[in-house]
Amino acid sequence: MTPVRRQLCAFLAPWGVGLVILTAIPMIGSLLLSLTSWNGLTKASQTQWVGTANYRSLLGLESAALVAQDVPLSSRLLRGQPGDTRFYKALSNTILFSVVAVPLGLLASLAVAALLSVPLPGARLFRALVYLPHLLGGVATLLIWSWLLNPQFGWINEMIRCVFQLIDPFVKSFCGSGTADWPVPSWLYSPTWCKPAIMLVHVWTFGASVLIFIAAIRRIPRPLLDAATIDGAGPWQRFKNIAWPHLTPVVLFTYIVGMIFAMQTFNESYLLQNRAQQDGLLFLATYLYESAFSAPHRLGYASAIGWIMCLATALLVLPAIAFSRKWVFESGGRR
Amino acid sequence: MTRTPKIICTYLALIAVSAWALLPLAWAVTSSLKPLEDVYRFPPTFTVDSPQWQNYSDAMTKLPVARFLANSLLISFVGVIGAVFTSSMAGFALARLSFRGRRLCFALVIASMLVPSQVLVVPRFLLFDLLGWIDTYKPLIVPAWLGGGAFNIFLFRQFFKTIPQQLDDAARLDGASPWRIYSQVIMPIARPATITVLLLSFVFHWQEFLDPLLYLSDLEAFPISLGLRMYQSMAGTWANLLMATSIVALLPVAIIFVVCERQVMRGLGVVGKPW
Amino acid sequence: MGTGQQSFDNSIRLASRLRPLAILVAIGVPVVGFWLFGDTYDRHFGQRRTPNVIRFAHFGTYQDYLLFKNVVADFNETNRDVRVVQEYVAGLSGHYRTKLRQEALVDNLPDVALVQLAFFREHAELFEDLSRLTTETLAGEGEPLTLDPVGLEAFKRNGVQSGLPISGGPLVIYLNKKCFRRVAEHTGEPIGLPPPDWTVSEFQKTAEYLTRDFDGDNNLDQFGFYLPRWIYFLPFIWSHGATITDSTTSHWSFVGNEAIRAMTLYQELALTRRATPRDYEVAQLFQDTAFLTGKIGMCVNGPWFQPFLNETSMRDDYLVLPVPRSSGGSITRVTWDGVVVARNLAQARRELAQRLVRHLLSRNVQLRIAQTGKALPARRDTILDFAAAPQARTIFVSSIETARLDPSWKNFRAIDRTINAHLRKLTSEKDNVSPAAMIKALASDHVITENFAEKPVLKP
Repeated sequence: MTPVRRQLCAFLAPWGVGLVILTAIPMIGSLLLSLTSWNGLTKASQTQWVGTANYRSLLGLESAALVAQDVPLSSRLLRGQPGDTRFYKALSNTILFSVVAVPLGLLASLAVAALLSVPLPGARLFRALVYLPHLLGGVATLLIWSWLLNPQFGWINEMIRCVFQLIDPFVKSFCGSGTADWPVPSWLYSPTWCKPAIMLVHVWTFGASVLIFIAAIRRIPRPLLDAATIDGAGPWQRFKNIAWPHLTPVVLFTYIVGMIFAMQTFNESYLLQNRAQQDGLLFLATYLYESAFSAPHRLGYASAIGWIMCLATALLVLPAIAFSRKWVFESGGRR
Repeated sequence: MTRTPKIICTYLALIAVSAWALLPLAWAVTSSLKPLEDVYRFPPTFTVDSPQWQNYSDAMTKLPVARFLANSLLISFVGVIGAVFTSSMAGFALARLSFRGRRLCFALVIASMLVPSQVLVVPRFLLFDLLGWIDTYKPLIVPAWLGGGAFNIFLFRQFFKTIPQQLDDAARLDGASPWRIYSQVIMPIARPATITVLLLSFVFHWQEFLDPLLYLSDLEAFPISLGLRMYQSMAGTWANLLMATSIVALLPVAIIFVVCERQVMRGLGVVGKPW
Repeated sequence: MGTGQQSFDNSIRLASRLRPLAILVAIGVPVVGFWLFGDTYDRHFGQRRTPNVIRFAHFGTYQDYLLFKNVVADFNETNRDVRVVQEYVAGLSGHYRTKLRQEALVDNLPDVALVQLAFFREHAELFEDLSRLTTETLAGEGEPLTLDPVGLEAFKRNGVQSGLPISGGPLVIYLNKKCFRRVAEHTGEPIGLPPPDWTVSEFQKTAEYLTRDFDGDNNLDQFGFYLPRWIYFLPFIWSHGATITDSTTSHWSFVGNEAIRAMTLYQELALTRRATPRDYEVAQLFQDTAFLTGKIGMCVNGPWFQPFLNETSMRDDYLVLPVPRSSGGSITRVTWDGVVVARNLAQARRELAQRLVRHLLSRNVQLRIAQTGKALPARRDTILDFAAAPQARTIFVSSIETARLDPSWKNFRAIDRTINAHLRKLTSEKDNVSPAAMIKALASDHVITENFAEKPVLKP
């Protein structure tokens, strides 16, 4: 028993050491930090213990003037006067982005996976091509996207203009006026269009989940599907009653991982931000980074944002796990 | 015969999706062959009139790109070995050994994904400075040897779970220790997972940008991800050279992917299985 | 006996099997241990702490890297008792700031560093007083060191000279000759290039002349001027005789007729006459590439724009002019890079660090900086060696004489955002705000009133 135990320790040791040194201790450090006013330069003796002040001023529980007037929090929020408006902007941007982009990515990858699981010659090539973006997604690719989405000389808008020109005669015959004065989106250079733009970029790297879905589709027992066909079930019924239950574990997994990554989105917003967006792409991770690394360098404040970020992610992910027994079908049963 | 239109439609859809996937790559290739002024031309062109092949030689000589690539290869190589080795060990323990606290450990693996990496920047810098590791490759490499990333552990665990338990049992009856089961029974079968993790962590190290920026200050030691940044200066961005270098930098990833594409498909396929 | 023999055999077999492993461990552990923790020993007790190794950090392009590599090599050549290690951060200056902050955090700043003014202003307390260097004569040179006065002032904080200027860049106007030719061909009405002593009204006329829709598709193809962030518009504000804050930077002074006139120019350029592009019309084209491609005919930029243009087809096709004159004269903005020495170094180390600073300010090195054409050297006696076309050099040199520093505010980012928000209203068709109303709204914005004294100082 003991040697096995010793071997067990050996197996888990590298990960365990990493977890403690590189994640757990820094996390606890940041929790303590979030309760101080440290700016990273003053010596420890001058740093003040501020308790929950960082959290309160972030969330707007303590806007001196309003507290004095005894205005309750709910109406302060309704009046649009929470403590740190940019924090709320970042929070809502991040949640909006995650809640839209993740399900969108799920749907898109499910659809493409369904296409790719049809046994056709050349399917392997297409599979590889679809997966490729997942490997290329990096700083360079984000820069490329910003060029592609350029309102003037980007390919995307050029294609849109081509489509407009193509349908011009039809539109003219139906509505009278042509497509000449139809506007093209200004994507990253508008406070409203920047959000769809960044979702587009995000969904582009869906290759990994496509592969996961293909594998899941292959695991659906063929005899079940064939039997259903013989019984006269239509495509929708076959999907709903046979395929979907087998796909639910994958959906759950992709949702969780996708959500975690989406809530932490940093590069997309950090690299593609510009002033025309008016903070339209300000995300929690970017705001955290900005608070910590540009004047006035509020490291405690930044740590508080980090913890709220963790909490928000957990709130979006945990219900899906908690209710998984209700909707996730487990064919093998868990060990 | 009614199948033919259906097949054609499927192909058309697949071509559309692939074109969408390849769009940035296509842009990068065409831009890398244009003179700088043409990259910003309006209306944009999808083709190149006279390809400027010397952009590539310019890109390679304007900066010591070969040096950066060699550095990146070194960092990625050592990091990848560590990631594959330690994450497969942790995955093995979580999938194959029964011990108290296994569920807790697994929960910790998943929970550690929740931590935003920006929060860790300052504490880690403090740690690595204390260790005297600033200006060395260690802050980039050693973390990979300490678990190699939660997602990779998860992937290995999922894959190991698909391998029949009977194999272990038989080996155990022969008196094999867990270490031998891991190294001689399980790992040889787990090639798809190994190669997938290899590819994913290679890509991770290859693209890592913020850490090298913070921890390296000798240009001779820069990886390619930092080198790419040097085409942006205060005065202007050499978009065409940047793209040429990016394509050169993408080649290793693309080659590895092409070589082990089939394994990656199998490796990634398992992560969606019930846990 | 039998079992004993067997267990002995077993352990022999085990030992022989384990031997390679044991040897591997015996060699591997020390090697890996040394690799991992050798630097840790060094960090706390070894080499890096020895006084004759000096760390010198800077940022910039690869050309800057090569320049300072040579400068450091020269220094190491003539100073055999010191070894300077060059530390370089790639990419944009924001990365460099982040890195320096991290190093300040762990109390491990480079001994000598080149910094931008904005970083210096935030962190002046981290750096050593260098005033001694300006009064002493430089080693090996008979004459006292004369540095640019504005540059010197820039690196003074609370009366202490905590840094010294190395090189500075005044903003000037770049004109794209190609754009003039294009309009001349299109309309058949050429106008000459403006003279070096041009006025704001001449500038505005030129901007409108250059703004054209060549192909008649109702989209402007060429714009007269790239209207920059307000901080780049400051030269125009100053040239109108207006100021943003008073000299103590504690009172908001962006009020009055001068301010209204400056903002009228802004509004006319951006909205009424449409001589400048909207953000989305030059998306991705920062002003450099917009200028390069002829999308805009004029822009505000510093000397660092020259080397970039000279490497492109624009080489002989651009002209440099000073900021156009108005009621307040022709005043431009200058940004300075400086050199700092970390505070609290040991005596011996400090001496060496200061020796390196002297080297950076020596005639030889300053000449080399001047010859890059990227920035004007801080030493007055090398300023005429600045690499540029003779006409441009005169303009750069005279611009730096009348240049001012941008305001240093504690809450710069928040104020910057506020000013931008009000400027956006000024240039939006929807809001239709008059310059006077915009100035009034800005002055009473809560961000401004919170950061500056209540009563604006009125000019006589």
